[in-house]
Amino acid sequence: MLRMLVSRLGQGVIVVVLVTLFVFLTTFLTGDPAGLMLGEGATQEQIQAFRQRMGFDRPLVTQYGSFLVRAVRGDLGVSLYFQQSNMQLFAERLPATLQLAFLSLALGTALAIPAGLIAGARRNTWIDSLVTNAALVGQAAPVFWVGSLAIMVFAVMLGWLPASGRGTPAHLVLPTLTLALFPLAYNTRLIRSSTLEVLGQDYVRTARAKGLPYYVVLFKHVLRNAIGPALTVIGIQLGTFVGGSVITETVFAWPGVGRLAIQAILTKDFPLLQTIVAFLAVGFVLVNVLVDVAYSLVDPRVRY
Amino acid sequence: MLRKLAATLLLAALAVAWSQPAPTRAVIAQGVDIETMDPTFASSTATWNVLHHVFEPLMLRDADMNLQPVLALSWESVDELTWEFKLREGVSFHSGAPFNAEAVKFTLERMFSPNVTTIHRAVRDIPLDHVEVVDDYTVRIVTKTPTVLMPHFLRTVLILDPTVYGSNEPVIDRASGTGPYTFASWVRDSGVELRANADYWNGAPAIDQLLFRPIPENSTRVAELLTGAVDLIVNVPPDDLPQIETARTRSLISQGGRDVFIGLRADKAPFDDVRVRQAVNYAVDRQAINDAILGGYGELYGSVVMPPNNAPEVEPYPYDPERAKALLTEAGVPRGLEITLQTPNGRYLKDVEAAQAVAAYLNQVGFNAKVEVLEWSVFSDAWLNKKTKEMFLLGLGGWFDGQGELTWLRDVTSNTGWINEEFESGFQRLATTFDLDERAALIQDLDRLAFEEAPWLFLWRQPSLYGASNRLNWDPRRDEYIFLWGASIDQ
Repeated sequence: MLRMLVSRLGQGVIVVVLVTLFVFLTTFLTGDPAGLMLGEGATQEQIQAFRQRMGFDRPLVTQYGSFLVRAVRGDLGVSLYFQQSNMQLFAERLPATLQLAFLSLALGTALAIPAGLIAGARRNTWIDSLVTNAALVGQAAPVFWVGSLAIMVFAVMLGWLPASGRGTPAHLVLPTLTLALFPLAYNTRLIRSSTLEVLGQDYVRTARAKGLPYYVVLFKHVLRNAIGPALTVIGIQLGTFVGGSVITETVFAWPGVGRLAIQAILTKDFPLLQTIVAFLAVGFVLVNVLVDVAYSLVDPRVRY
Repeated sequence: MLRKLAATLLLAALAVAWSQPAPTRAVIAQGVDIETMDPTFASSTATWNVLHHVFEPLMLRDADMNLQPVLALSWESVDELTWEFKLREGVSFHSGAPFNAEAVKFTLERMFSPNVTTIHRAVRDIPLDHVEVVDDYTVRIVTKTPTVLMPHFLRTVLILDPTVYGSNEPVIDRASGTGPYTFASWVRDSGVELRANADYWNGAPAIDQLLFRPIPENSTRVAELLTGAVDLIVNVPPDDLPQIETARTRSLISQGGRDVFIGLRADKAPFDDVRVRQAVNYAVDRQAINDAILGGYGELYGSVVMPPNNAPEVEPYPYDPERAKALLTEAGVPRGLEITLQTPNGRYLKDVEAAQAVAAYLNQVGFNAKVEVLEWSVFSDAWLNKKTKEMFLLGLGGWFDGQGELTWLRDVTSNTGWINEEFESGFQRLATTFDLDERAALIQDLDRLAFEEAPWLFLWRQPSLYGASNRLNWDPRRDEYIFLWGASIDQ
């Protein structure tokens, strides 16, 4: 187990470095941020002077190298746009993103497990087709559209909930439901199909043959085996959500990491973007390690 | 006994609460959050909108875009390189520290310090040499080269309290200016809270509390206005305007201060010929496009200079496709000539739709025009490095002094490759002329010349579209700023 952890974390470091390098190069492929930062109306002379002052005219290798050296020392630098510590900018927005990510994923998964299990167990009945079709619609509906529709109905027409922002528990409802829709739909379909697979296994037949009640078989034997594949997917979903759900955060004016990342991209604020991406890559790697650990907990056959 | 006492106290407390009116409050939703609370580091309009309530410049434009004294009472150029400012007395910063000439010197020196990284406009516009304190309320700004527009440049320099901004690092968790509002709090990406400054030198503002919220999505801003959670929203899409004409909300439109145009690359064929540049100006029915995609709210222009400094007789090019065709034939442009019109996506109001409509009109007079839509950062890079194709759509704004607008026409700013000797020499003369009458004549001459030479396909001035609750009494401005110290809100 320890060996697995060490090797996974080692791979993680390489992943993070490669990801930041990739981001750095793609940011600069379309030119440096000087022109974007000064905006329309600056003369070429002014832009050139700014470029020199900021060191954007140095070779890309040097620029990336100095970022990396400082990062290793724990200094992730200052945002070009905000002129504030990148770490601080990221840390200020992380709680909002984590809150939304965990809540919506927990909600989506908590509903997906019984829905998928029942649909699988009642295959080809009306309840199965109801669940499957609802899941299909849920998965296909664009988040943007669902979010805007939810605002129109629940905030503007009914006046039950606030349309945007963060503050009270009521502010959480619409963005959480909107963001939960995708994992709910996707995980329902996933659990349904793995339930079907597990139901055909010999040990299920044995369990039933020895006279166990159906619900015990379903929840003890089937669920435990059917949830394995879903774990990996939920892990990836968590990794993605922690990266900020850009669209949901934008529609609901949620003050999270996703919006910060978009702003960093639009302003080519590469030190900030690097910081965000580096942290997210670390988060992704950690979540994956956790998923591997969780795997061995649910399935005793998996040993490291 | 005790119960009686408690009841009396409760009644007394209620009576006090009842007699004090609830504070008035206005919530403003902009598209983005402010990037800083420290004026030295500010760059976006959203940020200026907030900062101008807390800090003040020496002078500011009024609703008619004329400079008016704020912290300065008067100003004059002493010689070509020196401007002198007489300052307002008896003004204090929110911290209690006095406003004086030292504060002006401090503000400029902090901004221009080599240890400060800022993209503040004034830093690139003012060739600052040094600042001299003549006495407590007189300050001189000395430049390296003649800076005729100094008062205009200084309107973005918000004066700082030297007791609070001692470090070169941005100060963002507190603020001390001389403005009508004091800083209360800023929660990143959630909003900035301001409180009315009861001791404001020009009288406390009518609205007690302001909250500036960032809401990036257009439709969400509209929804928040309709729910009543927000009193003022910016950048309403033209298609949504009818939706906000309700019993509780209304739309507000101001004529724009941003010239939207199509830059014609005069350094390559076919636009190196003035007849072709004029031809495309005749070929496009701007009014029809304006009506169709901007609801008619755009303001057509032929004169790049904004009122009141423009040449008044210059009218927009009329729609005359026959004349366009004749000019193209005269210039020998072959039928079906392929040209590309590049446009950013969403940077300006309906930019892509505008480009497509323009291309369709150009095709009617014999071009084979294609539209290329680019993401802003890609577009911006191509534009700044002069890698644009034959035509590109852009919007420039922010100047109302005549010279500023004429700068946009120059190749060094708009990157069209249009370099006209007569225009350049006239512009250089303007840049060093201090006499106001002489300047006015020069500005109008250059305005006329630009119209004739047509380095752009002139489109329209972008309107600013707002939505407001009917409780809010406020008028929009031409320069896209939102200033609320003169506004009021009904309870």
